[in-house]
Amino acid sequence: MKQESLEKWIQKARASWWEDGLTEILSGIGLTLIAISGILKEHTSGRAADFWGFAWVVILVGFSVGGKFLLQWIKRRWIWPRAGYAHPGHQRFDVRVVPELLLILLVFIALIVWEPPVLTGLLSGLFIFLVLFRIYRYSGIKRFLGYGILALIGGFILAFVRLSFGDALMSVLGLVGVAQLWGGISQFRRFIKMLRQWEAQAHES
Amino acid sequence: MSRDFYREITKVDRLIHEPARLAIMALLYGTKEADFLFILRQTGLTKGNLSVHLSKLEEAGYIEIEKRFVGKKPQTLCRLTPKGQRAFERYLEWSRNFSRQI
Repeated sequence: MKQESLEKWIQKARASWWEDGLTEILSGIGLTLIAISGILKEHTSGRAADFWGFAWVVILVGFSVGGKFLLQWIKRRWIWPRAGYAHPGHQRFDVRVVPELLLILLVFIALIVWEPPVLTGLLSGLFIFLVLFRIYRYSGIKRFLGYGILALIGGFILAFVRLSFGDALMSVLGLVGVAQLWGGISQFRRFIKMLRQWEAQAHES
Repeated sequence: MSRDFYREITKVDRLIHEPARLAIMALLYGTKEADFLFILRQTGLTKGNLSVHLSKLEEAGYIEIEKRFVGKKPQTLCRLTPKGQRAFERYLEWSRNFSRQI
């Protein structure tokens, strides 16, 4: 067996968490809703702004905390009995991630402290790209590289519009959210097809 | 080819080197734990074949197998032991060296 294919097997195991597309569907819905409520919060006033501000917090906390439980519940009930269960946990802390984490931290601090009008869109895109690129390097799933590049392009375009940091970040998040939702649904359809093939093979044997 | 090259070949861990077991070890290395069905789906091995390979790896102390019930259904969980993890990392290192020399 070649060295490359061995590395691919390890990545395949790591990628199994995203194989059903459900994580992307849920995070896509979450990111899109966070972006919409975040933008509405910034651009409304009075009671409407209070409502969207509250909704933004509820959606953010709800999806950060509840999303994980909901995902695990669906997987436990429907996915794992059919496709098998694998815990995606890391074997150990990967030191290669340290420079990326430092860069993300620096970008974030720079955005909050200076809020440079031209760079906000670009840096928001870069910030999201780095997070998604990390998932791509860990799992080898090319879709995540695609989402990351989309965030970079989106950020680049938004740099010319000169939005505030909040608006730029929410716009890029929304863009990535819609892309993830679409990618997740396509992946889910492929997963269902694969599941049918597995079940047919099991039936034959 | 140098003499070192041929010596390097003989150093391989034969238990891991077998393709089916290598696939199982790589899958378990990439996860914290995985059940029988997951390994079966991913490797495409038959149930009997997979059971034999898992038993061999367990006997060598490379993996541990835990049988439990999820609801009313039995589940066989497999995970790498620290010994298995070290052995697989040694194999990866060997494989890298070997690839470099070819």
